[in-house]
Amino acid sequence: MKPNDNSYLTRHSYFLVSLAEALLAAGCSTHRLEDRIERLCIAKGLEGEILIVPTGVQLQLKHRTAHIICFVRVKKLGIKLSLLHNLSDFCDEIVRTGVGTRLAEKQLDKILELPDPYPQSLIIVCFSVVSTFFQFMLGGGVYDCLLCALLGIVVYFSERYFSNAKQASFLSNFVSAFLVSSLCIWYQKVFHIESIQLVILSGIIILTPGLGLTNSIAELSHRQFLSGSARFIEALLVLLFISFGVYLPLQLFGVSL
Amino acid sequence: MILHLIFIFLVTTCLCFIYQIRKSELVFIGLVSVISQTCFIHMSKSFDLVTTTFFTAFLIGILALYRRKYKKTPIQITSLPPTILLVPGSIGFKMMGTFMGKHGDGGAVLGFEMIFVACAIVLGGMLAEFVFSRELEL
Repeated sequence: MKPNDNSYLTRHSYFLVSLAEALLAAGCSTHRLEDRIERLCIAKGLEGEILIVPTGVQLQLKHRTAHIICFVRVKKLGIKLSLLHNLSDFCDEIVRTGVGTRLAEKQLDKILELPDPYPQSLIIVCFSVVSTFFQFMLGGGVYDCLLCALLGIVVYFSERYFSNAKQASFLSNFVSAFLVSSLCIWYQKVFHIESIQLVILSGIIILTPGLGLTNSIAELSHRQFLSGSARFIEALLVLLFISFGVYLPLQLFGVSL
Repeated sequence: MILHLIFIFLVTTCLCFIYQIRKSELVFIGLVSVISQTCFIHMSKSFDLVTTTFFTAFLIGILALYRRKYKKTPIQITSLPPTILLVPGSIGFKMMGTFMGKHGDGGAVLGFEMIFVACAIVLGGMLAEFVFSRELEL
């Protein structure tokens, strides 16, 4: 193996793994991510194989006689579509213009340093509006809709607080559901709710893992068995934690749905 | 109906803010959502939930591919907020409630319905991608 080949591969593997990590953290689906990285490898004249799991990226690169395998854990996952859009444009640009790896690394760092496009106050309002809308769609009255607006805000703060805690991503679902359910029970005792089940559902609608379940089936359909099954189990676990959070206060206060 | 569609546009825009989608995409994604939900509402009068969801997801897929072709927007970005309005999260919640109420049969029915709806969304999107764009996007 020539030393030049080795350093060439190391530089490229570092860049490609960083890019894959950023794409995965921004919410890119596994099959699209693998496709993107494999095309980038072809554009760079490398033989590349990539394996994505929900919390990690493994990349194997070959160039002439040199060969390298690297693995990186991805701990911060989420859905940031603005970042995903920027990274997607960046991948297109690399393939189209064949920009050098050093320059590409600098551009990637710049993209990752960009701030979030919207302020947190707007996101709080959006959580509130989404819960209110679902209650409206389910036929709730004005006061039920107002309660849901409040529940949306509670869910936002609970999610934000508990998601930041270490190893507590599932706890946030339980606590949010618990708070929503408890508030609804209190509200029903003081005022009147037409259907407590529908109000609770509207309050926690943003937490329900419908999207996670759909994504897991999409990944399984693309033969991403490892990632798909992990996400499927994750969606079911989220559902269980939410359900437990909802039903615990109902049992404690003797309220039936 | 018009009020309903205005609400759908509004909620889709809120979902775009939550998932941090670029401002330049907001109007188009809102319109995709309004068109797909109009289709959903009209079809649901004649067909069951799974069939309606399948065709709605197919329509969302076509519109996302159109956007991909002319504006280079990744399909995932255009299709995610309108799809959220279709995903079976509420069915899953009802399923767990039914199981906890010790009604296993009802829970199983809802569970299968949830999985069928999720499969319908995935298949609708995949079919649109296969028919109108033979290769995956970069």
